[in-house]
Amino acid sequence: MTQHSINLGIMLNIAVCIKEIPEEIRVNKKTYTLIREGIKGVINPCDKNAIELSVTLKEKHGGKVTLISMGPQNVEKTLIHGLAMGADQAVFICDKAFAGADTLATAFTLVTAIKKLGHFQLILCGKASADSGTQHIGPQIANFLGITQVTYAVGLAVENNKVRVKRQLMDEYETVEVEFPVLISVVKGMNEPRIPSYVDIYEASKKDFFRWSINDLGLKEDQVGLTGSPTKISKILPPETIRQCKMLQGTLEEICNDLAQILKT
Amino acid sequence: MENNNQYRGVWVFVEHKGSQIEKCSLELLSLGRNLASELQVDLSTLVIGNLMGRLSEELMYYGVDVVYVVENPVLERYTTSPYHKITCDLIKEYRPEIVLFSSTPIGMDLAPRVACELKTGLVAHCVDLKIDKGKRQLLQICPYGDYMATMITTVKPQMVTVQPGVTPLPPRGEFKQGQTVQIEREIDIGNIKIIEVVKPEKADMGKIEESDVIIAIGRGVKNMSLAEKLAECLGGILGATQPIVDAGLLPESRMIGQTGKAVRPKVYIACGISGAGQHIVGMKNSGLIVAINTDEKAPIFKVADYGIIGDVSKVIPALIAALNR
Ligand SMILES: Cc1cc2nc3c(=O)[nH]c(=O)nc-3n(C[C@H](O)[C@H](O)[C@H](O)COP(=O)(O)OP(=O)(O)OC[C@H]3O[C@@H](n4cnc5c(N)ncnc54)[C@H](O)[C@@H]3O)c2cc1C
Ligand SMILES: Cc1cc2nc3c(=O)[nH]c(=O)nc-3n(C[C@H](O)[C@H](O)[C@H](O)COP(=O)(O)OP(=O)(O)OC[C@H]3O[C@@H](n4cnc5c(N)ncnc54)[C@H](O)[C@@H]3O)c2cc1C
Repeated sequence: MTQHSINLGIMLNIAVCIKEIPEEIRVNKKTYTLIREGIKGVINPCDKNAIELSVTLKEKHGGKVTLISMGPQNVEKTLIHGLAMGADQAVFICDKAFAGADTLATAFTLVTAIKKLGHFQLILCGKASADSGTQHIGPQIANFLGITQVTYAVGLAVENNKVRVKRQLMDEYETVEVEFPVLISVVKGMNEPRIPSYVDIYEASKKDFFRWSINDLGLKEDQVGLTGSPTKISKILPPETIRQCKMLQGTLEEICNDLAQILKT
Repeated sequence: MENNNQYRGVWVFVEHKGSQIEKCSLELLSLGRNLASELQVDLSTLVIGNLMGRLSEELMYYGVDVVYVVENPVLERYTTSPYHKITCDLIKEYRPEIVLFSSTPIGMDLAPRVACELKTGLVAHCVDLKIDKGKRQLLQICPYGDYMATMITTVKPQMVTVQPGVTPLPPRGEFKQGQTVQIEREIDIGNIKIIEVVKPEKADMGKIEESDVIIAIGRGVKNMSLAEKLAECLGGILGATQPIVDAGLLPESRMIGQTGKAVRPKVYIACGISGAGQHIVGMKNSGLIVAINTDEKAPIFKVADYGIIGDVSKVIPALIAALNR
């Protein structure tokens, strides 16, 4: 109990889940996974907003930010970027056994790491990843932890130990008030993620960085990865031809006259 | 190990607003009816809300066998905690083999949490559902990168969220059928409090679904004002692919596809759009589809009625000229 916050005394312990995604999305037709070789990995866009939010809250209320990411290859650079934005430590969960995880197995693995790290008042994640985009992970983490969830956050303020969140829904905004602990998933564009300097990035490489395997998490193979996943891909097919397309032929003028006729009728 | 065979029946989670059934839920009824008939089981709906009497009655015109209703003034508006608890409890009690939700803010808030509690899987943003009769297995069809995937869930219940706008609405029957089952529950509203709900002033949101003509632009369009002129000329509205919206060229309400909206205008003109699976799910049910693209192999041509291989910056002005002739 050395470092009390001078502001409010809340000292937020925040975990932020971040995913690295391939910059370009292509499917390997044999393994049904996304191709990663030769494609640059980038941080999932709304996860940057989640990191920005966590760092802003820490600056205002005091506390500590831990980044957690599970991924198939070295996402060190992505995590370092998050550390350079102002997070304090990073945990990278990586093991062959985690390959092929569906969302339930992914959330379960992330939650095991979260529990190992201790108690968090606030857990942040993005609304959806830009590569698979299920939107499942947030609510699943909240359920595994048995805590409240608030999805689609576009604004957030902490007051008197409560959190006020503005949610963006289909055609309206809803503002709710919740108590800690809570999981919040954020929408891209909710804030302006800071761009770290070279000095920040250099300093970040000195921060605590943990790499955890299945053994470090104390899990068994049948609880994670493909074997721990209730959903399976049975097959993938290229999009079917749904219509017979008539290609309009001729000079540009002829083509456009033909199309104008079709559109007028 | 629980016996998967004890699970029977198809359930639909019904969303509603102002005591009206949401369109997306009616779409689920049409999918659910087919699945239930193939499996020879009941189609049931779960309705949670306040004063749901008229709405439950209305559901009985859509081939529903059982309408389960949980009513309470505190359930007037959706919040995660009580809806989650009720849904989980009833699924545990009645053990349906299939549960359908919509890919809406409510469905996507609720379904993953319910699936997690029930330790089962969830397949997101499905565009079609089929039954493998031999295995009594639900085939869950959803976009997968630039492909379409068929997914299965090896645990019961099999749960999915369905993309709104891609399934035709079911016919409303002439007579009511089925029964309503009123369920009494103790309700714990949890520690979430709704402070306010506001509608943005811009009525822009929502408009694109109502337009008869959509000029959709993708990364192949460099000059927005050309596309705007074409839209004006045809009395239509601009729509866009995700990269265009991400670049801030059009508001999010104009995005068409899995993340955006599903539309079915009378005329859809795709300009400089490659035709990724996530885009196609949002527009393939349009009336007449025209695609303009420099690449004759672009997948968009597979869903178009008419195609023009050419540069949009040349084709659009020529088309405007032809329309004005
Ligand atoms: C095209 C495609 C479709 C898929 N469809 C399904 C499906 O329908 N059902 C299913 O169960 N699985 C599905 N999967 C598998 C699923 O994508 C993986 O389990 C994935 O690891 C997590 O899901 P997501 O990226 O969709 O998460 P989302 O729920 O969309 O991600 C939301 C947030 O959760 C956090 N997060 C997500 N993944 C991680 C991670 N690895 N580490 C740290 N934080 C993370 C991030 O903050 C992210 O912004 C699909 C995969 C692909 C490639
Ligand atoms: C989880 C997830 C959800 C997604 N949701 C959506 C969604 O809701 N909606 C959506 O649209 N996308 C969505 N996407 C993105 C989608 O996969 C594609 O990346 C996107 O639709 C491509 O947009 P585009 O066609 O504009 O761009 P591109 O794929 O880059 O295509 C541009 C096309 O323009 C053509 N072209 C180039 N120059 C010209 C010219 N001068 N004249 C004519 N043609 C030209 C090219 O030949 C090419 O075919 C999603 C992706 C994921 C992973």
